[in-house]
Amino acid sequence: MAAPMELFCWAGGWGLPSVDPDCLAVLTYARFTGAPLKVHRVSSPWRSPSGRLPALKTRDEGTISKTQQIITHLRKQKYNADYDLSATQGADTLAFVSLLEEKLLPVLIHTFWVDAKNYVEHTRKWYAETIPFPLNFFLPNCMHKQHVERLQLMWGDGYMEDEEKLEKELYRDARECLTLLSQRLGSQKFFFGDSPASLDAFVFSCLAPLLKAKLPNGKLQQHLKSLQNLCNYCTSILSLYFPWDGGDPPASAPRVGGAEGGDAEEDPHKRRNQLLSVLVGLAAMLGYAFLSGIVSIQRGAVGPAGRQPIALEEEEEEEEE
Amino acid sequence: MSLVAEAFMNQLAAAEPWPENAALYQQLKEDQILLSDNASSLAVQAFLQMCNLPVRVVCRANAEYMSPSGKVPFIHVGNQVVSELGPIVQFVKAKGHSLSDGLDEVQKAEMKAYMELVNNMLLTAELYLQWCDDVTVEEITHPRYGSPYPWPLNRILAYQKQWEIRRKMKAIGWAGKSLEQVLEDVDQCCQALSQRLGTQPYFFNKQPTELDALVFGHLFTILTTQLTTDELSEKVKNYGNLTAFCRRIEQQYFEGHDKDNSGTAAARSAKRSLLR
Repeated sequence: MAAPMELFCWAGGWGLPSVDPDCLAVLTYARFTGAPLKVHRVSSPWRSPSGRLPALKTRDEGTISKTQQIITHLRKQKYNADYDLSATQGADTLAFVSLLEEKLLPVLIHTFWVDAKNYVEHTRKWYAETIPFPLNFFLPNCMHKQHVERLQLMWGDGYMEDEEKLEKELYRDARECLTLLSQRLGSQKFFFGDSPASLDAFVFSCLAPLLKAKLPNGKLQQHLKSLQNLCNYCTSILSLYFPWDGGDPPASAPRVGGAEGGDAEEDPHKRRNQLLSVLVGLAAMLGYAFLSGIVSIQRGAVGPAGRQPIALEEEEEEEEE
Repeated sequence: MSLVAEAFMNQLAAAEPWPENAALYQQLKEDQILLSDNASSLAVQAFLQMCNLPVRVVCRANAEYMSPSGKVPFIHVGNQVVSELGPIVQFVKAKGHSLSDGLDEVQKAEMKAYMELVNNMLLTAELYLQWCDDVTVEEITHPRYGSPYPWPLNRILAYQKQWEIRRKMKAIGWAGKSLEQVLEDVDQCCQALSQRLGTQPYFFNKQPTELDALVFGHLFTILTTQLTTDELSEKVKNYGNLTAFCRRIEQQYFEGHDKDNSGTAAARSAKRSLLR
């Protein structure tokens, strides 16, 4: 029995155990295979051992940071969700994962991180509320820039500047991809029969944020909601494998509670911040007073001796003038 | 172009039949074209052959810059210019020719998924080998890519392209991969394709589709192009049904074509090592 490995991933939100598709894929795969993982839901990548999320801390091989490598590592530890698949099904898995990565995932990133309305009103707001001070001022913007650059390199400048072309071709391809997934799934419970495989983990990790997040500009979301079998598929996986941390968790870690019950926590933080700022101001003034000699403390007699330095100070000032 | 104008143009395109003087543009075959571009071009040629649409191949040094999307090959049909296999397939479909009409919905989903697999893994591996493997870059890619241009333009263009490709590799996470890992991925991809093909003549049994054209384009090019090492072509040769598939398509769709066009036959036989 291997000692439990530790997984660091983004905190949960919007009814999901984690908001980031990569983290969600790893979590779901681990749940499917029953791998014993100690999950740390952190609210900033600086808390993870490798500086990026998701990150798997193993005993022998250090920290692994890429989604695909984490899943490969779990497979090597005999937690293999694809054990029962035939060779053709394994080939189909590779093909559909490629389809998702090329057609759906970039558009998903665009919907959450680049589309102006969604980013400002939804994504940035959530990350700014979750990430602790002072990272929340620049980290969401940093991530936004990274994603924009990545999409620019993948799609070329022509698409990024022309909104209409983007909408017409790339979103249309993404909608087609969703329809194709729906057709492939049909009325089955999972993509390859009755037990889940790694393809199900990937598909779920792409679809679940799209389904659950309340996006202001949700054309892709509407298309997904019109595909009933995919919606049922997502909700059934959520209820089967993430029954307790799918919704609002009342009794779980205060970090997660803090992310969602932000209003309740805001007041004590506000007061604490005010008190801190007053104390800092006072300390600064006192410090300046001592350093410039306006006030000084002398050991020994308090009364007359206390006045002398002040008198000396005044003389010095007169001399300087 | 606004959506209305584009729809209008599509209608016009659909109305005209396929002309006799359709042309496919690519880079110079002997000296300039690289592995990945050759594969893409061959895939389009195979697709058009399978649809029985005549096209002549025109080689230009600046084909990449003439293309509307910056990628080769592109076809010039009537007064329309379309580049890359995906849009070309749709354009041809608008004219009433399609290879995948007989497939049901699930098969269409699988076809699209496998085409993305080839693009995602094989094409990216080819690009990696050409532009990120230092030996290949120095001995083959740089000399070939800038060959039509005088010094120093040939070096500048080659470095510019290399920088662009390397940034893209970093964005998709392939920059950290070693050559062995890339060859591993190619092997996985070929295994998946081999599994899917099985003992059938084409991927969807009796009739070829655009997936067959795409797979043929890439595998044939990998098998017949001489690089600094043979490791890439060895990976493909491991799978007998894939080499038989390439041979079959070559014999069926390109032998006759080669007899008419002796120029291309000579060019191809210079690199051919498939029918040994």
